Amino acid sequence: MSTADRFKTASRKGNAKSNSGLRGASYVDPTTLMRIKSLQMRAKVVVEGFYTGMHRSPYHGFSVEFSEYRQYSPGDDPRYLDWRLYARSDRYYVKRFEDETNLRCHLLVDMSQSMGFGSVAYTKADYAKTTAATLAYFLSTQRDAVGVLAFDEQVTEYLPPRFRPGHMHRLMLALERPLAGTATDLSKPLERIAELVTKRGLVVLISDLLAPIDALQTHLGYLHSRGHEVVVFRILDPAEIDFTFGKPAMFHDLESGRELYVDPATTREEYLRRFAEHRDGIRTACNSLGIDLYEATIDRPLELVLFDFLHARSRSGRRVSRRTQVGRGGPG
Amino acid sequence: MSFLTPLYLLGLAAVSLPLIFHLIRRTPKGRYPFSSLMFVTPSPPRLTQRSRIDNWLLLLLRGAALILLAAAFARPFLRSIAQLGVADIAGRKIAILVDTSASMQREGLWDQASRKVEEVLDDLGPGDDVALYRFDARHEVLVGFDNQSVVQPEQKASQLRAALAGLKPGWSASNLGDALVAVADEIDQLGNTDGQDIQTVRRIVLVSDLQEGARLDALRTYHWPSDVELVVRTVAPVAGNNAGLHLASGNETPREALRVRVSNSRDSAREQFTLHWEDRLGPIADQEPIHVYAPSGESRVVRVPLPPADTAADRLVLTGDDHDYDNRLFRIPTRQSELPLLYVGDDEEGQTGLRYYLERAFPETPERKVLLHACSPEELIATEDLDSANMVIVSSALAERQTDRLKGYVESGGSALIVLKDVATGSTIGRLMGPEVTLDEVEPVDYAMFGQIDFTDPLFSPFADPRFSDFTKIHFWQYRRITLPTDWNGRVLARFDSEAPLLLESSIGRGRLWLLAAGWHPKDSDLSRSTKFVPLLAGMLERATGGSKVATQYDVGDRVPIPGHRGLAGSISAPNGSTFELASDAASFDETNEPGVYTLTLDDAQVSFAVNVPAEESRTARMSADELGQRGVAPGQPVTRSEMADRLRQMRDVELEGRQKLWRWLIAVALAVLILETWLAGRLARSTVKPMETGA
Repeated sequence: MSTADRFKTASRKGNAKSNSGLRGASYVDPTTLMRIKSLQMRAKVVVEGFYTGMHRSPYHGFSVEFSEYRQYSPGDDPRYLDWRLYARSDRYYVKRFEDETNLRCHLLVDMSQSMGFGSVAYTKADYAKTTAATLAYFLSTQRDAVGVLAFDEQVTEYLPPRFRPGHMHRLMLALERPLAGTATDLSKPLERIAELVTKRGLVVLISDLLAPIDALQTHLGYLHSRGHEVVVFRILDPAEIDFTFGKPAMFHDLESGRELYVDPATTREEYLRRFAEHRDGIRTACNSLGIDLYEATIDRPLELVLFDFLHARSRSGRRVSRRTQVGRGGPG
Repeated sequence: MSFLTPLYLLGLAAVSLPLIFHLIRRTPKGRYPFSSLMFVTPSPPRLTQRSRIDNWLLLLLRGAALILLAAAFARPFLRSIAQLGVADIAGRKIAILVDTSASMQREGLWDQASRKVEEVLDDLGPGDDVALYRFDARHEVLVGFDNQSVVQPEQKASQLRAALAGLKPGWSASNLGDALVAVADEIDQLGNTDGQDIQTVRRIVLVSDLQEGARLDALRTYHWPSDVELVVRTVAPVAGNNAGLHLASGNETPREALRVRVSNSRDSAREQFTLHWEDRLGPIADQEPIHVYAPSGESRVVRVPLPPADTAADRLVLTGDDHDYDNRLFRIPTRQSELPLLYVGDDEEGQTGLRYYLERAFPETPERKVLLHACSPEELIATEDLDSANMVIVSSALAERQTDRLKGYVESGGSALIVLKDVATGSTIGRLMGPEVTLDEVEPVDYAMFGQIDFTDPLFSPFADPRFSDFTKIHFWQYRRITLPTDWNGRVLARFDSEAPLLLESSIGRGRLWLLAAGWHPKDSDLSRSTKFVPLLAGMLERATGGSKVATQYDVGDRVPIPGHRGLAGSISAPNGSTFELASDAASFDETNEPGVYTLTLDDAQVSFAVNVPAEESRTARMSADELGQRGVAPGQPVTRSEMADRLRQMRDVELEGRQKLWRWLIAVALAVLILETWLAGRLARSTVKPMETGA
């Protein structure tokens, strides 16, 4: 039995309650996963588990290496004609390559203090790092260039996208840095990435997005307008969503250090309302920009995040192809 | 119902503790870190809503237990009917000790002291007994305690006022320690012997200026009785500027000047003083006053030229301070007395003989001039020097007639030293002391030494100090062993290391005879070269002249010896003109009560001596507050009669409470309540747990 299998078994037995919606699915239990110290090992476990479970995946067949054959139509470059297929089928097909080897993915990981919160055995930051590591590892298995940019109120770490030996290790090291900053300020890292990345690529933002919406919308829009494909993973703690605190207590803001006396019994309703407003605001902003927003609570198996990612990729692929068709059809 | 320790009732406040704990339990204890408070609104702490009492019975039980405990600790008791009043207090014993030393002569002090005594007398209540003591160098009972059980305070107070009216400060030094010890002893024993209640207050009220010159030595070795309280009523002069004048050295060493010490007290503000001579009538004419600068707390020794011989100036007067009592120094010129001494011997001249050393043993001093007459044994019969001699020293064998003449001299009160230079003097001794006394020549191996010395004898007592008691350096090359009859009644003052007598003293008639078993000349010993020789002979001479003589300077209160007063009529005239007749057996005169020049008239001879105020009396600055405390006496505040009644009431309460012991019952009930509370709480806890378990 492989390590991944063992984790899957554990997951089946022990995590039934926390992932009641996913009961019966064989995913690695995040609590168990987080016990693995090495970030790279975690990523490996998730990705390999993902491959193993691929045949049962509802997203079967999607891949970054998406490619297609398309019937030749006048105006296409004859260089891309697949002559072998022509020989077999006596029809002209154009071989369409995705620019996948040239895919440059930027992982933007929020390392602010608010990410240090966790009502389970690990924090949102752990989950975010693991998510970033999983995506990076997954992409590296596809031979894609992955870079990382860690930020709190400013950029703390930047590794440009590369695909070369040792890059994955450096990337993991960068992700393993402890939390240092105070507030979440998305404007600076987004500005910075816009400055740094001139080539179009994939930008994955992993954050709790506990920040004012206006600036976020502006900068995401700016990034999107530069032609980048933007995917946002919003990492949230279940306690943040449901506000499941019992007794009145002093609440300590991890970012500002502010303390408030809060009686959850009286405050919960108001909290949930304001939280929902904020969440809707983000969702509206992302929808208006055509950005894929995925929410991930930290007790959610990481494989599902990977599925979300691939789902986003596939949607973008369709979007791209649709756009391409429209574009190509114009002059044709 | 009363409480012995009602302060413990403050513990009743603890009843609120269960309530407070209840409320505290509701206040937030936790502190949650949270990612961001951007969606959270603060809620005001609303305790009131939640401070609902869950279980009144438990609260009541806990409150009751605390109340019972607090009440038990407060020691409740049922007060009996007897209520104590001021009149129930046992009478107090108050000893008023008034300082009458010379320093109390300062202006205003005595009036203050009288008022302080009056205050004490005014405070007397029924049953109080009071006594009046005075002290200076000595202490004295003026009005003693009554031994009667019923004391009439008014009568006693008037008795005391009368005694006080006749009292005024004297001129003596103040021996405060002695007086306190004596009065404390007396008042302490008084309380113990008359079988009174232990509650009797024994108090000494000290009315004094507490000058730093007062002697406190006696307190150092005294354990102050714990139930005798000392209350100090201090009197203080309006002006503290006081300087004193005292003799710095007894002998006028440069004959034309007198050394005096001007000491200025610590609290003095003056620094410049002048000295001048006066006689009975006032300052003598044509003299230059001497200016003395003495800062406060310091003293200066000044050489004052003696007054011209043709004046009758007998006192040096200091001016410049506020208080006059210690500003006069009476002075009598030093008298040199002539002491004739007869030496009978026929030894050779020069350093080998005895006489050579004898002549050098009595140097002349300002007080004394020894006139040494020498004669041969043959001349002894005829010489008149024998009758006038204070002491005779014989070193040769005498013929019978000569011996008889010597014996007659000794029997009439004279003193003789016979130096047994050789065994030939044995016949002389035999005739003087009896035929059984014989002499043998002894020549010890190496040498003989002092073996045993009677340091209690006045002759050797000056050597008793370990620094001077080493006689081992004196070697005797030869000596004469004296064999004494068994019924001999003299004393052996020193023995050789061979146990043979070295120096004997024997009384013959009214006189005394010393026998020295070896000579001091180099042939016999090196006694004459030792440091002991001169003091030993001087001691003999002093004893021969009748002990001490009248000196020229005394302090007030000193005892003046009256030498040579062998049944002669004598009198002493005091400076105030009064005359004291001396009793025929009086050896001393004690009535030196005031400073001035006294004159002793003894058988037509007149001797004057000066009496001055003691130097300690000039140290008038007040002693530091803890001076008495350091010697185990802690002066306290007087307890008033109502305070005393309170104290007594408290003691009765303690006794009542001790008998009733209600606290035991309260503790028992509290324990029972606590047991009930525990049981109830346990039961309630079980009943709340069960539904939870079944619910789970």
